[in-house]
Amino acid sequence: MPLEPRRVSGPFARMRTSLSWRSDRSELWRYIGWRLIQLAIVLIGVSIVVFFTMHVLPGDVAMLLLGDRGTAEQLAKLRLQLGLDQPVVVQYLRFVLAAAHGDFGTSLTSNRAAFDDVSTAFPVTLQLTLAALTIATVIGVPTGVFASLRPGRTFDNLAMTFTLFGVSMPIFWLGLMLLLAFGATLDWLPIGGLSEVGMEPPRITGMSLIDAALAGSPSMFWDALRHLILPACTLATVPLAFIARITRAEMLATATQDHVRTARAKGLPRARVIVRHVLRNALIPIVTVIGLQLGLLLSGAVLTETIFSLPGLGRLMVDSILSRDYPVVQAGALFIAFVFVLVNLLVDLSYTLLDPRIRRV
Amino acid sequence: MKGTLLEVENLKVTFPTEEGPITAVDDLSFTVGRGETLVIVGESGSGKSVTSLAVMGLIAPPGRVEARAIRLVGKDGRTRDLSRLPETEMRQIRGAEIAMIFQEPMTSLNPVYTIGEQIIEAIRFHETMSRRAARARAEEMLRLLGIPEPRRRLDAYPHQLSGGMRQRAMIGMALSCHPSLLIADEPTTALDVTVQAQILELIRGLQKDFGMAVIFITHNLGVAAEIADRIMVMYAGQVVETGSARAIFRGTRLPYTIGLMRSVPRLGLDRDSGPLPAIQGNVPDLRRLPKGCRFHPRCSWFEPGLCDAKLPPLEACEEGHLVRCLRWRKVHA
Amino acid sequence: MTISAPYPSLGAAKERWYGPAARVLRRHEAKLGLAIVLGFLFLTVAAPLLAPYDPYDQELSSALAPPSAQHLFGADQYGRDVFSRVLYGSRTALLAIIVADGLALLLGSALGLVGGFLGGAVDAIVMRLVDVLLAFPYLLLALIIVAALGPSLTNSMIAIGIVYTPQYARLIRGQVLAVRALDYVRAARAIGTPRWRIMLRHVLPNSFGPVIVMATLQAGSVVVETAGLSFLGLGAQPPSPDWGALLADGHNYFLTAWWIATFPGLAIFGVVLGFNLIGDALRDQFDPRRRT
Repeated sequence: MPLEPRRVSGPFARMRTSLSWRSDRSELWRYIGWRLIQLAIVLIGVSIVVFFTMHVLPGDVAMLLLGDRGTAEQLAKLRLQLGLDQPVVVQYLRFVLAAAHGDFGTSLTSNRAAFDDVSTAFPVTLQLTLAALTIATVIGVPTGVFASLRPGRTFDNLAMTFTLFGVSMPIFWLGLMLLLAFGATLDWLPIGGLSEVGMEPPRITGMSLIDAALAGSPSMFWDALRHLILPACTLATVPLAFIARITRAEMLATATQDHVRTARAKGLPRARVIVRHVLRNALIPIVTVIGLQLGLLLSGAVLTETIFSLPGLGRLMVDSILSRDYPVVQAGALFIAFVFVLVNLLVDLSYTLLDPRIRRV
Repeated sequence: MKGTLLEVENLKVTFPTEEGPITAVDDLSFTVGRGETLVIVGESGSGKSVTSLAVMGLIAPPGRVEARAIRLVGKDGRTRDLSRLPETEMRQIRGAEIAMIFQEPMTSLNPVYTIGEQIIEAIRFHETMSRRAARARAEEMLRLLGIPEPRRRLDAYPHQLSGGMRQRAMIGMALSCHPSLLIADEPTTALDVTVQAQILELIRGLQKDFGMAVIFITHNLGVAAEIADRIMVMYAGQVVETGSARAIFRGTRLPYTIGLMRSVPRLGLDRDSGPLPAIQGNVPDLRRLPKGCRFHPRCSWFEPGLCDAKLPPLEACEEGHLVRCLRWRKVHA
Repeated sequence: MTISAPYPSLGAAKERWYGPAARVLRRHEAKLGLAIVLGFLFLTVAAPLLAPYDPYDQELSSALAPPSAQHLFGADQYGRDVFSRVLYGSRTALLAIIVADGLALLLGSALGLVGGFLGGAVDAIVMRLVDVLLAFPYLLLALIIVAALGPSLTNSMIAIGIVYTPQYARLIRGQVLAVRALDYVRAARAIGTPRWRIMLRHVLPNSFGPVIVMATLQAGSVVVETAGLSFLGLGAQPPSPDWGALLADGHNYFLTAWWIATFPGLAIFGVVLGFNLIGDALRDQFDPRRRT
């Protein structure tokens, strides 16, 4: 990963950069409408890519499903059943139609509906991702702010060194090292899984922390927490480093802007200038970056879940690919991509809260 | 109201660069009287903005400010040396005793807060008053500045106002605590001419109402002619001429000032008078200053052996009118 | 909080490339980074000379032996020398950089050039394509490409290459658009200079800098990500001495043999750090706003 994440990127970057200040209410709604159309186009593109890679490229799907055991007749029958004799476009439309109903076929390994596998695994990933994002933001932003206050001095140098390491750290290695240190050697924390056997909270949301809280059991909660700490910290490391760096960079850049000079010329105390005139303004690009970390987080989740044996979506994807369970791969890919695109849009729209130039009157 | 308000003695501001330190302001001294308008004239790079920032204490490391003294007479009657004041006390001076407005009102105002919030912030940090009282004063300020519908405008964001209104809002913010000195750093440069005239008018009016002194920084001699009581011309970091506006416009003895005046386009000049005379050459690079008089490479009165030998000192060519030129006796407009 | 007072205007000097290059190297980080990267490149070449054992050589009697004089980094579950495997793994890493980063650069530049120059509908299509690629979290995209093509080292590199294409596409397209808008380019077009010549004479030289910066920064990322895919079993297949694959082995045995995972990971970390150090210094050179 580059040292500074691409600041203006993602599916809606061009809209982001070419934003002119809209203060009219109807303008805002038109803008949202336009974004939704773009969203739809991109989602269609996504579905095409997923379909293409999963259906077309792997070759004969029927053969894959039946393996060597199928006779020529069974293969032919299966092909007919799956509609593989139809033109590609028709297959695609069938795929999309089914997908819209949540029907992605049956998993070859678990024999459940592919989508069910996905929806069971998703909350685990969601919990992990949210926990990591929280850690990254809560530690990253203040670190960046304090580093920017005394650039070139001790704290800044330390912070920059650590974040440089953080950004260069292969996540799977970090996870293993942490496991070794805390799990094996020191034995403070469990080495994997979501909860100890017998401590699983009754499933309501699928997120172990919340379920444990809802079940009103402190011991379950504590257990779930213990299992979450290491993976969350591992996953948070790279985004934390990015966030700290970009916060520092944006704070420094904002501090030289004219309005800060004005604030100081007004005789305002230093702390107030920093918080209300520098940080507040720097937040706009910082939030962009935090939003962009989502991609890193979702990707990192795959590796983290593998290391810590968490039954999340990432691990499901990998296992499904290795076992050629294409229905699940399709379902998972589409699902993750949708969520990703949607969240990016939400982050984009949240700018209207931060930057009144985009807000309506 | 008579009496000196601000007295700057031997101000020097240096900045370190890769090629060594450069002196942006070199041994500057001037005074501003109560209610007086001093216009500092100069091209970019002359050090005029840096001077005002130095007075306000807004030059940060690695820049260095040195001065024998920067004496300000406060509203409470006490005289303080701003160059030796600790930051906490300096903060009380800024905004309340000396206020500053800048060239670009769009970028000088914080885009994420309403102008009301920004004005109220200034008021409440210098005087204890309730939000409501502060808001009332802010509204009064805007009305005084000729902004229509001031109550509504308080809740407007900077980008929702026109350039002229933004500058008025900035002025309102600066004057909200009734400072005794306003430093205006090229406030009209970014505005169109008609708006420019209005703003100048406004500042003059407010100055009279509040008994305020003004240091007005500009590169535009026309503006100086309009509002200056006294003028200080700067070049390459030094004062090169200072005196009353009258004295300078009537009988300047400085080649640079003459050059500036000649290059101002005038109504009535017809096309056949030839091209507008501009001062040949360029402002010197502060890292490679010419020997002797810093203006000599561009000067029509240049005398080799004299002007490039030593730096001219400031001499009085008449009472209260100083020039930095070795040949001023030979110089006429 | 510091405020920069306006610096008086200083003359700008035109420089040749060694000016900036020298300035970059003056910084310690760049020197360290360069040292690491050169060391890495040296290892890829010198691996056969330095490695005490053949990386595929199994010696079951030393299975899971801890680090010692005979096995500097210990031995894995088949008795293979970890040190030798790590050394040879550097070659796969270099291959990943060349193939994946190279593919992304070529493909991305092609897309960017085409879209930027032809404009209109073509540009719109190219940009939509880029958007779609960016709509996936990067690893997911790599996963589905590998799923489609089948797990192998080559396929994992292709996948990563495709994942990084959008960044180059954007970069080059931006350069093309900027150059197109320049007055002298418009003038050149007006007198009929063919577009390809404009591309050659103006776009290419201007893009050189940013592309180098990006390629350097990406080099490290590419190594990590291909290793990641191998770690998941989707890249290099056993018994290949790829760093990611080594880490996968290490994961299986981490309770009993910590050395199998630690050293390959350290290697990856080191290489990425090296590229990031250089890339960071290079980028500061081209975008001084980011400096302290």
